[in-house]
Amino acid sequence: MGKRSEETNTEKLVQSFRDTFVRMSDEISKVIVGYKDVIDNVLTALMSRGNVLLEGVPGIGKTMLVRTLGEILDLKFRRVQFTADLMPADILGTNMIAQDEAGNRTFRFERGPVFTHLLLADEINRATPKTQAALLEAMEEHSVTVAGTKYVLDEPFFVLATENPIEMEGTYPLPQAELDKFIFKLDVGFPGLDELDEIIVRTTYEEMPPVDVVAKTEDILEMRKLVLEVPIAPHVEDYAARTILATSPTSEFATDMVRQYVKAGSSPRGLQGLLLAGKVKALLDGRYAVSCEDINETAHPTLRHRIQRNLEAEAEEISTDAVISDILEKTPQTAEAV
Amino acid sequence: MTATQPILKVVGRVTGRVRFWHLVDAFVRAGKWCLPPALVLFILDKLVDVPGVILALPGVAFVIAFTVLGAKALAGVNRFQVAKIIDDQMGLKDRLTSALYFEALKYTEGLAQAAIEEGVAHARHLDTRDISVGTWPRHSGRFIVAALLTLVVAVGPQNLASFFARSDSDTDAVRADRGDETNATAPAPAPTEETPLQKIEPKKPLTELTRLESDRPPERDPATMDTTMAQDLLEDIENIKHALSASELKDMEDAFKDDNKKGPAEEREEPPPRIAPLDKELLEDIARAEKKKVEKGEGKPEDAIGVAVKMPAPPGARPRGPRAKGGGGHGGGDVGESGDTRGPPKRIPIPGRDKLIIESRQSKDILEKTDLERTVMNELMMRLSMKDVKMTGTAKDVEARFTPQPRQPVVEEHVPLGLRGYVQRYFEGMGGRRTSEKPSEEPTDAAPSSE
Repeated sequence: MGKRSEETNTEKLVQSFRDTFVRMSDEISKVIVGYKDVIDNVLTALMSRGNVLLEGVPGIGKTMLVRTLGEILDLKFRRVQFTADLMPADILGTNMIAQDEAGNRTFRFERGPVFTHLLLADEINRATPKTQAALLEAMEEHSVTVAGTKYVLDEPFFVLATENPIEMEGTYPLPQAELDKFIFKLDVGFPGLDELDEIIVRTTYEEMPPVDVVAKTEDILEMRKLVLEVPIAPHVEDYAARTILATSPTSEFATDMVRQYVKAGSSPRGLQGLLLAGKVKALLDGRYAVSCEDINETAHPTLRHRIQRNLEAEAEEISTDAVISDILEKTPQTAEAV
Repeated sequence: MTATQPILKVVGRVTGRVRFWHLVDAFVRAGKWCLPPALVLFILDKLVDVPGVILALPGVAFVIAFTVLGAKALAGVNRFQVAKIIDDQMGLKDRLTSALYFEALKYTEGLAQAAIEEGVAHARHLDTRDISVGTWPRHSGRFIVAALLTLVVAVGPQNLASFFARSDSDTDAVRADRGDETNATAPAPAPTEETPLQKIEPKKPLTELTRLESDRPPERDPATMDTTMAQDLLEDIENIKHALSASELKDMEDAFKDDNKKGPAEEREEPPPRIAPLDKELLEDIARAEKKKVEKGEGKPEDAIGVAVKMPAPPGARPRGPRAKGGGGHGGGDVGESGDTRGPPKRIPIPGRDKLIIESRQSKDILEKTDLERTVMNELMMRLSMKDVKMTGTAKDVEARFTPQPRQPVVEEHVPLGLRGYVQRYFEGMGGRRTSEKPSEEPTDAAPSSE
């Protein structure tokens, strides 16, 4: 009897997860026209405790997306416009001299914009590497260390950075170490004709529609906890691991295309991202375990910024997505006995 | 009873089919490796003679590769793999596989338990007849084409029809090949089981075998008689190959091919005396007599008989080339169409009686076979000898099987005056058969009877 109730409870949790997720997606879609995949992937990254790098031309709603996300989740939202003269203290905060009523002067830490739930790092590649590096600890460990003092960020902490792919003058491409901190890199393409018509109707004739709060901080944390509980069968873990190894040109699992066009492959953090995102996809599909299809579905956004192309690939305009597709096609899904 | 029993039932029903397709895959993969070399070897065999052992190597390699690959493929079939195949075929997104794994790993709490229950629920509604677990391996089409090509090359395009129809229309096909028009137009007889010996026609009287060299068709050049004879034998063997086993036919064909491939007499390791020594003497005597006639004015120079006998060339002799007009000949006559410029005729001493052996390579092969095989071969040779072919075999063999001396004269002809000396020397060479002080004019004990 107890076992049956436990199963029912599990089913309810999963169903609740799906419902909440769908409602969040629908609510964002009230404001953002199109980009359903981008919205779902942003939410998936949020549930997977990851950060997202959005790459797209200006004016397509990246900032609006993050702002709306903060509103529906009732989370604190901060936006930082990255420029060449932006300093790390401008993001993290700094110690300032404060004088009390007795006239004693002490250092007081003034928190920067990083102390929030949702941080939008707009055009992150325009800041200097030093400033970019200031985000590393926050993104990975969800903490900030200033003057030897470590400050823990509030959960959920979620960084969403944007890049402009066409205006590269005066930019500092993100180093691989920092790129690796983003679980997803999402390509935000230009909207189509139908989407543009809808944008015209929504933004030039009326006020932006208000959005409802779908979930609160506690709900997000519960959903994250459920994601961690999703089991993964050994053959799926093995498939994901072989997929990650196949991105390295020196690996025995590497495909011919990888050996020809790839300079360096994914790190083990890419494997973590694959499996965590796969868990979210499984729950969204109403399943209780991750499948190889979930791995395939999340492979492109998870790996495209972790694979470094060589000069030959750049000269021949071989994209990392093409390399990933080749890997997924040629990596067999097997099930060995245990 | 485990919780995943419904899944295991479904998996058990599909495992047999999975194993079958794994074997198909192993078969194609093994064939993919072994067919190209087999094809090359069979093509090579058409150009040069490739030993049967080498021809069989691709087949042996195929058997080994198929055994290894098949065993490996079957060993890799487990319930998880079959479940994965079912998941992929039915679009279950690893539900069955994950459930089996979680059950095996004792993951029985929380979402893992829910995953097991979900997998079992799906398995209960599965119809295994809808599961198509097998797909043709990659390059199956190429494999089939290569196999057919190899078969055509190995059997031969002209023999392909008879290869497939041998079992039911064996007799017709062979008769048609032999040019027997009467039999070819006649309705096909009912197939009967016959032994190879029964298929051979009854042997003809020995008298037909014993023909003088002078009875041979005039268009035949004695110097090239051996080649013609070998070719005729090869054709006849080709026509009656159904009467013998494949290995026997192969041996015979190899023997004749080897014989044909040999170069001039001087290049042979052991040049067999294709023309009997007595025949050579006979021809030389005739030539000598005719020459004398011409010198005495009894005949015209153009009536002189040209005699050319192939003999080993002396060291440093001019190599073979285009026939030199008016030169290069010997014996006062033409050198013949062969353009042979080898050395002058050499008298071959007639040794004792035991040396009266007209031996060829074929006869050696016969002697190396078993009694049964030798009997079949001898019967075959007897049949072949009914044509214009000189019987091959030792005189001892012939004597052992037939009456030592014919009761009736084999040939009744007048011996030309110029040949009396030859006949006399012949019987002297036979040893102990000179019966009268005056040599007979008729070759009553004709030497060709040994043939």
